[in-house]
Amino acid sequence: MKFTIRALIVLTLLVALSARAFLQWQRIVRVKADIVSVTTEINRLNFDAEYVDSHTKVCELAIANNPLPSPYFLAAKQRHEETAVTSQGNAK
Amino acid sequence: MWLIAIAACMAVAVYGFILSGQAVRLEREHDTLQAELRDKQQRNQRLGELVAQARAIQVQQSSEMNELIQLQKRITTRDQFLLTSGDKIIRQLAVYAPSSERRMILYVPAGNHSLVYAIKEVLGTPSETYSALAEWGNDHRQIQGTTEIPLVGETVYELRTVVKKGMDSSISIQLIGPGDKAVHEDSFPLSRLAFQGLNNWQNDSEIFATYPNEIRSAGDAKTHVDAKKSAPVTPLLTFTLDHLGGKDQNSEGRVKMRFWIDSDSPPCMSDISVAESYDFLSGNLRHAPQLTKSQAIDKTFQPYDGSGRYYFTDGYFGESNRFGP
Repeated sequence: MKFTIRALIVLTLLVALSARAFLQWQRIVRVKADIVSVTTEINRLNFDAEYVDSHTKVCELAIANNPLPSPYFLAAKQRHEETAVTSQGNAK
Repeated sequence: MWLIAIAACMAVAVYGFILSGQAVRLEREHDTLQAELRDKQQRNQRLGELVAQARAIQVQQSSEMNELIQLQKRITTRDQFLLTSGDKIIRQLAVYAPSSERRMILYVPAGNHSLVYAIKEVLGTPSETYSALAEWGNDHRQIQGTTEIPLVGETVYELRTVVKKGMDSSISIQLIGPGDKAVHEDSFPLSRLAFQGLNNWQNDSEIFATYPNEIRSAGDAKTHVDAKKSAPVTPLLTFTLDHLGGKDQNSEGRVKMRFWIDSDSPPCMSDISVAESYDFLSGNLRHAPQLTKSQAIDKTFQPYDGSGRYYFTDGYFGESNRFGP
């Protein structure tokens, strides 16, 4: 009887430890798969950081330097309206 | 037997412990990579949004120019020219002139510019004149015997080209400036041959707008070499004048005229053009020359004379993209 109880305790312990090891192994497999997936995505987006930063700055400067509507466009339209008003005045 | 069982338990426990440590290490690595991925995604997303914004600006600018072209179509004199400000060279051909005369209204932005032109007459059969004149003027810098007229920045000019037919055939060039005063007048005698009217105007009746010495992207030119050829000067227009076929072969011929603007500013590309050229998917520029990643932007992003605007100069595009002589 005593033997059976001891055997059961040892067996239970062995099963529990094996299960824990199996779960850890599964965890490792899952994390490794995730790492492969993330690495692939990083490689896909792996544009040179300096280049991306440089072009970001270019875009920021360009956007800041090109207000819409363009000042020359507004000036031309204003001139056109003034000309039209003058023409109408002359016609009258 | 008990010893074997205990040893097995210990071995499994140790193995589990090792696996646990490895899993923790991998999870930390995973977290680091996730952070790096998030960082890259955010950086690229930001760039993507900026590039989209730059493209929208360029589309809007193009739309504005189209609207101005519609307004400009009614313009008949230099004084009525609407585009009297801005940082682009703008020329418009007036279509109302008689067939023996061509008028071009021209706006030059702030800075130092010259109107340069050259005239060449070649006698011979059409094929002979075609090959002789095709070679002439492929590269603006190689043309000899040009006439150069200094221009005042932010000014509208009118260029009149008049062909006089008959025994004393000639081409006269007149440049009208502020106050309707002639800034330049000259006449070029031609062979005593009969002429057809002026022809082969490029982009006839259209407005042509460009930044001084603008580097065209490879999307516009066939190659970067083509793009660079026109970089030192801004071509305005080219046209030809055909001799009528007469009684003998020598009465055939052709006259070619070329006009361009020579500016002090270095060859450059507009900031918005560089910005919108970025291909977000490949991480490269689609049409513009390859940016040199190590170039300091502030050294190559230079102000253009007096206009308050900035342009990317050739330094930004690296040694491999240097312009010709």
